[in-house]
Amino acid sequence: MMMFSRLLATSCAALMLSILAPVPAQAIPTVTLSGPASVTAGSRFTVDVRAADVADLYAYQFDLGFDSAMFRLDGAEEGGFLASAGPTLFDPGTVAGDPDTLSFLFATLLGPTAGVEGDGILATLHFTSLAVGSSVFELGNLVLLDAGLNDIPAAIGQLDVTAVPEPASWALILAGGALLVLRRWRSPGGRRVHA
Amino acid sequence: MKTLKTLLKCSALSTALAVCPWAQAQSTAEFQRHMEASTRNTGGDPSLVQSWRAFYCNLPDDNNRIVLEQRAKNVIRMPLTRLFDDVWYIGSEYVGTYIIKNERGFVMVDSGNNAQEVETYTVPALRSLGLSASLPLNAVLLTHGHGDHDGGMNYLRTNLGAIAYLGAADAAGKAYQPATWVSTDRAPKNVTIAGVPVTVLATPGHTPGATAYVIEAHDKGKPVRLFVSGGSSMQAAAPLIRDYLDSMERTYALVKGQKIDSASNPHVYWDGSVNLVKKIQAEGLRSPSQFIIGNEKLLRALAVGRECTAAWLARQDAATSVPVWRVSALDFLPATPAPNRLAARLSNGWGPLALQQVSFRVNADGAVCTATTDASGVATCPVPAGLRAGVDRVTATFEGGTGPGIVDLGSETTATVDFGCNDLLAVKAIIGARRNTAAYVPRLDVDGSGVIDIRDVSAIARLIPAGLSCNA
Repeated sequence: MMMFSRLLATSCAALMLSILAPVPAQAIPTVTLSGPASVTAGSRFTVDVRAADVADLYAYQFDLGFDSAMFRLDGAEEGGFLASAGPTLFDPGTVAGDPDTLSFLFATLLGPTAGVEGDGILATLHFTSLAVGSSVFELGNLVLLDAGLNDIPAAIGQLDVTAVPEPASWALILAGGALLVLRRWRSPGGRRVHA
Repeated sequence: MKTLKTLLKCSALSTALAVCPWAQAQSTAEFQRHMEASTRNTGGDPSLVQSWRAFYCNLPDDNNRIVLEQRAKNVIRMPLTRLFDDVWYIGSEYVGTYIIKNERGFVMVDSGNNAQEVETYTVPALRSLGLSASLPLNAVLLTHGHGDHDGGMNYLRTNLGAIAYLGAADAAGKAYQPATWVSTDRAPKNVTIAGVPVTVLATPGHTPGATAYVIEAHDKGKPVRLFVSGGSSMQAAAPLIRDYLDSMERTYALVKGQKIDSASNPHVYWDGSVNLVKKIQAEGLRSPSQFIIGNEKLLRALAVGRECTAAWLARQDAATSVPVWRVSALDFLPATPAPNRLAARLSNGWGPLALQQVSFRVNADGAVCTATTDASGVATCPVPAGLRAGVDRVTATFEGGTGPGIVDLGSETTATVDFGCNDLLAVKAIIGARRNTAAYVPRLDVDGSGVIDIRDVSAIARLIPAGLSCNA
């Protein structure tokens, strides 16, 4: 009986150790969007599509959803990450749909080469803010392929961008407000009466 | 005893096979085999599904309604539209005529519905093209003797002096006194009508005297052959359906033999010509003309029509059984032919074709290699020494084959030797295309997923030799 208890205790200890022992951390690849959280209406800005913790990345493809009433996509260009491993084929995708979606932006390495490792920018997207408000930029239809053309699972992020009135507009609003207050102050009904 | 009675009934009622259970079953199976083939042979091409398949099969589909709907479009006029350097269409969205112009004047195919239509539309159109004493209307080649095709002929003969040509079997009682083709002579005949080279093919079936024509035209100065069908709807009587089937098969042979890559039909809806005319009207005549659809597609379309005809024959005559025609497609594997790879896949609407012989020929008179397709339908040959990218052309050929109740139609494909850049740029251009859409190219859907995506692009990109950028 005592023998059995010891055995049980040893097993439990071993199990605890195995749980608590440090194992090499395997980070999950991610693809995220980085850009300004706030932009002024009418201004231009860029959004980078970044990959992190990838191994042997040979090709990628994604869609990007956004509110086309508030933001206009002016263009897209390839980031330097994939091209660091050799010649690539890049396509900036097409914008269509309602609401608009950038579809099938992709790049692939050419030839029997290994993919890229680590972190880097996949693509840079150029936008113009059209109106005041906020919108979510969301990745979809994401495919990452390794050099064996196997899928690389990845977590994806999104980006919230708020467009605010430009400074001149703020000044105009403030000036307008001040004028209203002043007029109210000067009008008989609005003048303060000191008792 | 009961079985014996059934058998006796079967043999006795040879003229009423519909009451014989097994004959009925056989007929139904025959009908379904051909209907299935008519669908599979489209290869999912929307333009074949929506025009050729839909209209050739309207009767076996019990869907004659779609033809009646088109007939109502006889009042919708289509303006004179140039299809090639020397060919125009004028008519309605239902039926019309083709005008061919040369240095001697004009030749027309079909004459329109009636004199009023010809006077109102056709003659002014001819005048706008230069009709005059020195450029007269010399001849009208009639596809058959129905009023919507020869209704304007009396006017054209009386007022413009045009000579009518018509299949003899339709010519009885025609006031316009046509010169006739021998409808019983089923071999194609090469003739020249008022300076226009024409191949004449008797295609009885729609009417006994139905006649198809192959017109030699020009597209940006280059000779092209335009096939004009001799008749559209099938009849209900089995002998005429058999004629129609025979006509379809001979038409297929003619189109294959002459490598014809352009087709039309006076009933412009029947083969989708109406859409091509509208396309030209919308975007202008392109080079090559929008009417050039390619020999492979035209052969596929005719095979679809042939299977609709065979199905209709099975429906109307349970005693007849004809083999199923299966259209095969031979496609070079992506990034081939290349200086280091030579492989092609043979398939049809039912799947890959295994254990078939495919030959590869380099240029017109170069090395030939024959290989047998594997279970995936892929035939691979060793690459001949010195194959030059961008210079040499390789033709892969499948001569065709037969099996029980089956004819596998031959196919051929030709491509310039390339390291894969052409395919890479081609697949890039159709990214996102889905199966059964016009942009979709099956051979570039490398993983067969039904959508062209990065997996297909990268599968081709991997085959590009190291260091080559394809100017991408």
